[in-house]
Amino acid sequence: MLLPEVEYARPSSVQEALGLLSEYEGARPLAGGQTLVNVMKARAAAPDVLVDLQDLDELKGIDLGADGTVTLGAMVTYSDVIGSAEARARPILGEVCAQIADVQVRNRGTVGGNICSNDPTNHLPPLLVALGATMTIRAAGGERTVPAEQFFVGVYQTAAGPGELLTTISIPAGKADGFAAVTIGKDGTCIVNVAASLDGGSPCVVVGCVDAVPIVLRPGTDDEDAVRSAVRGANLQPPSDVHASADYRRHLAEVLAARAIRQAQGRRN
Amino acid sequence: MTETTVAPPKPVVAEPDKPQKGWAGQNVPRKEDKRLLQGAGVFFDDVKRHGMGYVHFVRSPYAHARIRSVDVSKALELDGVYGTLTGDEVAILTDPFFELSVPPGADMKDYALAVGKARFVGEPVAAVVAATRDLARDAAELVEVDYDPLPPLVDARVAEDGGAPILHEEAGSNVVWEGTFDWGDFEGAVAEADHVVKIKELHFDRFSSTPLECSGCLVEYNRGTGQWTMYCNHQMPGVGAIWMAPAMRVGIDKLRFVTQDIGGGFGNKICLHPYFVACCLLARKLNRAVQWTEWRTDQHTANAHGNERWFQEIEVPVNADGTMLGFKVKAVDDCGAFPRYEPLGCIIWAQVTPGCYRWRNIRVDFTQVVTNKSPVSPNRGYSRMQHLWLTERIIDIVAAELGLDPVQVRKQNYVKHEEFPYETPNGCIYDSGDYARCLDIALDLIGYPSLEEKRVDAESRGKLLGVGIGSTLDSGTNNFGQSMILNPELQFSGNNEVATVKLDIFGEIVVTLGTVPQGQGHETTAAQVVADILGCSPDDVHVRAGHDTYWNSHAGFSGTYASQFAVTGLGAVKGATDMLAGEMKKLASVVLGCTPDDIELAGGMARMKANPEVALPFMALGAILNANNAGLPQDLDVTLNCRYVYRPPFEKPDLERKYGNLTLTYASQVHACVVEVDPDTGVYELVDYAAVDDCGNRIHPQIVEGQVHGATAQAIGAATHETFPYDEDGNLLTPNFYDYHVPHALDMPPLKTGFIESESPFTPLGAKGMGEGGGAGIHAVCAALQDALRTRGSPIVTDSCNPYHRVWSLLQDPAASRAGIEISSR
Repeated sequence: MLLPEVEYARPSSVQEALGLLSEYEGARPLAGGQTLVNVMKARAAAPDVLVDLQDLDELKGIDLGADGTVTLGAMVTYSDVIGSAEARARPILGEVCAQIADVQVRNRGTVGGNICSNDPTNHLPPLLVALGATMTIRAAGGERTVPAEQFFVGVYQTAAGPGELLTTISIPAGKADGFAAVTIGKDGTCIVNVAASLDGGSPCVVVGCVDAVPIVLRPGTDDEDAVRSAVRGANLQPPSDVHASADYRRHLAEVLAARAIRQAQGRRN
Repeated sequence: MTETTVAPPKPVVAEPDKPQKGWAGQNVPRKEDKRLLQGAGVFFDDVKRHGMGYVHFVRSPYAHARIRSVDVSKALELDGVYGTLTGDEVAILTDPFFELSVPPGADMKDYALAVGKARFVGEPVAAVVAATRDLARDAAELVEVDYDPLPPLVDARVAEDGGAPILHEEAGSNVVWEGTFDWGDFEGAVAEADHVVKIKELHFDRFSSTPLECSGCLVEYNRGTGQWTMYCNHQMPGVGAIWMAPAMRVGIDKLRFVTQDIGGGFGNKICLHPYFVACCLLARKLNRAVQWTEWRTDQHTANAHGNERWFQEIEVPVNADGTMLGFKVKAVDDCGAFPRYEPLGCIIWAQVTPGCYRWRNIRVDFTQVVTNKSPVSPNRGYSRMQHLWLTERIIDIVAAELGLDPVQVRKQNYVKHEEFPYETPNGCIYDSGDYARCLDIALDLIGYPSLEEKRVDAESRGKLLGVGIGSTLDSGTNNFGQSMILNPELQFSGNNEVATVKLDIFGEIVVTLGTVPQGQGHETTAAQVVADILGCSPDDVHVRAGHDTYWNSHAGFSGTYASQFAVTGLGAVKGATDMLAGEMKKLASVVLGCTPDDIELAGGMARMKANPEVALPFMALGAILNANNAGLPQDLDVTLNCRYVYRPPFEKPDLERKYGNLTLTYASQVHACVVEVDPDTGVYELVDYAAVDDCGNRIHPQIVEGQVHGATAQAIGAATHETFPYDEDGNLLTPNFYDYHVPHALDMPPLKTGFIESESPFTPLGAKGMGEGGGAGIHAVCAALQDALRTRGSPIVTDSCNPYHRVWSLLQDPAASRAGIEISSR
């Protein structure tokens, strides 16, 4: 096989999964595998034990609360979100999921996997921060919730630590959201993405692909010039790579922020 | 005499009941498709042997490093590891591969594994064989190589500078080959011209095709006969054997190549000989079958890229009316760490010296150098694509600078329909065509007359609309004599291909090809040609799948490459079938008591023309000759097993003048592309696209159209996102599909195709080789982007690959791209 040698476990409950994750030091949860398996193929990561979460039906729910809160189980696939009537209560969720990679990946890849891998080019981290989502993390000892803004810690690092599992993501009610991204071709690697929302009190603009974690900007008003100026004032230090220079990424951040906020404005009422 | 006929805008699917003049020209169902669609194809990796081992190559992490030592002992300790091979062993057991160049290139030593030095990231340094593929990979990580890193050379333009690191000390220079090509009177043209447009530098980027199936082989060594059998996907076994046998110090009879199904070639599978030699040595050393299946990342980093080329100090003399008189250029070609198939790229471009144009005064100073990057090999459109990009860039830059209409200036400078066959300044004979007409069809398909309305509409949506044209040639059927222009000592010229057609005992018609199909549908088109001659259905014709040296149906240049099957492959099929038809008539005439001229072949019968009731089914002919032949006349010279070698009519070129006919046919393509650029981001989309193809008589229009689609996608990829850039340390920055973005289905524009058929006067079937295309999409996209940005400071597109960030740079600083443009006028 392509992968380095690895042990494989397939628990049937979250409790069992947590037991395995704390029992083995080199254990990692396997969700849809669309990132982790590829990283293992490239031999850039070599966990000792893969704890496959695919049988955990308790992580596959999509619920719409009476107050309009959408709660996604961590093992919900992008396609699940796109097809869910409940998730449509916050339309941007399905719209952004539909922009992730291709159909095959969307059928396998999960919301929890996307945000827990926290690849800086992923779409969901900036989006969930902008929407003011809350992550529920369970450990053997109990459960805690973390606001999305604090969930993303570093490249490939989140608040869900060893022995813990992200179980659900709660997104408050709202609809005045926007999202804009430049990817290589229609469904290739993302160069810059920006999510915006006007529903969380003050306007929130979140820029992805420019740093280790999504960069949160609160321009005070949703005026386009104010948003552009907030991006310029953020002193972004994005990486330069084969797809984009730092200057180009900085420029895109500003243009896409304006587009995302415009889309959000158009959906305000 | 050539005739151009208009054909319906879309190929039609053959209707079985409709009378047809013949099978050729019809879209009969492809013979290959049933097995391929049912997953019953046999690719080399499907072939397994009892007790076989799997090969994994240990590869250099350095672009340039001396190898102090290689220690395989820890790998050998692993249970299930069968053995290893190192560069030291290779240097003892083999000789360096034969080089095509004169010195300095001739003195570069190329072995199956790195010997003494590693010269690019990914170069194989050692090989490990183990019981499983993953074990071989794990064991390879235990091989300890002690490297002494050296400064790398990654920019071809400084390869000849004093301080540049030398890759091959034996050669004493990084130059592989250099020479000047001078045809017509360039100085005279400059003196005569009203304007001279100068362009400082253009860059054709490094990229490659990415076949679905990576390279590889299963190799068995027969100790009793000293013979190797390679079940593989080498696409040019004839030449592969010429490289391998002398290096391995064996006769060419000791190498047997076998292929069946191959998942795409594009030229990447021509230069597999270093890997195959390593596998042959391992199969012999370990006395067991070994299989090497290339990993995708290795395919990207270390198999074969396309040639990167810099065009410098371009000068174009132009008359006031837009007539261009020729051009001058200094070309610097980057072939990566080893020449391998090179320096052939230093002459292959000359097949299309003036592009589609009537330019008579051309001077090219050509230098090819090695760099610490992946070696190149012929990549679809090999060397002509780069040169044709130059000719199309010249047209569009000159047009933009002098305010000429890119459509009119093309038509004015195109070789005219009535001038065919047309002799170029360097003696190539363009066989037939009508470029202006192809251009009209392309423009019609994209709705060119309403272009201005479309521009206005795009502007209202905040977009910049641009239109671009790419007019190119796909020269096919090489005269290998062109290699002698590079190196007069080489003993290669002409070309050949073989087919064998026989009638077997139960009337089976069996065709054996020398070619190595990789998806081109040879089984189908060969059957069409045979069926037309023998008067039967293509369903009655059995074409052996793939290539096998043991079939003895191949020659020195056998293979599938360089757009030639419709000429060389089908020429051989036609020749062999004509012979067989003659023999069948002769045999029938003996049995029926008449003369061969009294016999016709039709409806699966050999029958009397005068009285079709008197007939022998093919089965009877096959049975009589093969199994019931007592009483036949002793002098009846009939075997019903006919082998024919097709040899195109070529002369050796004039080496002094670098002059002669370098290819037999010139298919042409005119593409037109419409882009919309988002001026705020540089992001663009191809919103309309037309590809018009003229490859003479089309044997199977649907196969032709499939090739047109593929060549278009390849070109669009090259123009937009496909690039192999290296950092200053010589690391490839796009080593796999995470960063190397080929066009996905969603990236492809709606493709409109059109065609005309300008019969070739020089080929057995009036067909021309096709399939590579001339990179027309690259030229068209570059032109369209330049057109779209013309209201934003008129930047010039100077690079063949234009990802969004480059377009954004053109928008930000158009003046920078124009810095190298100068016009002097009288």
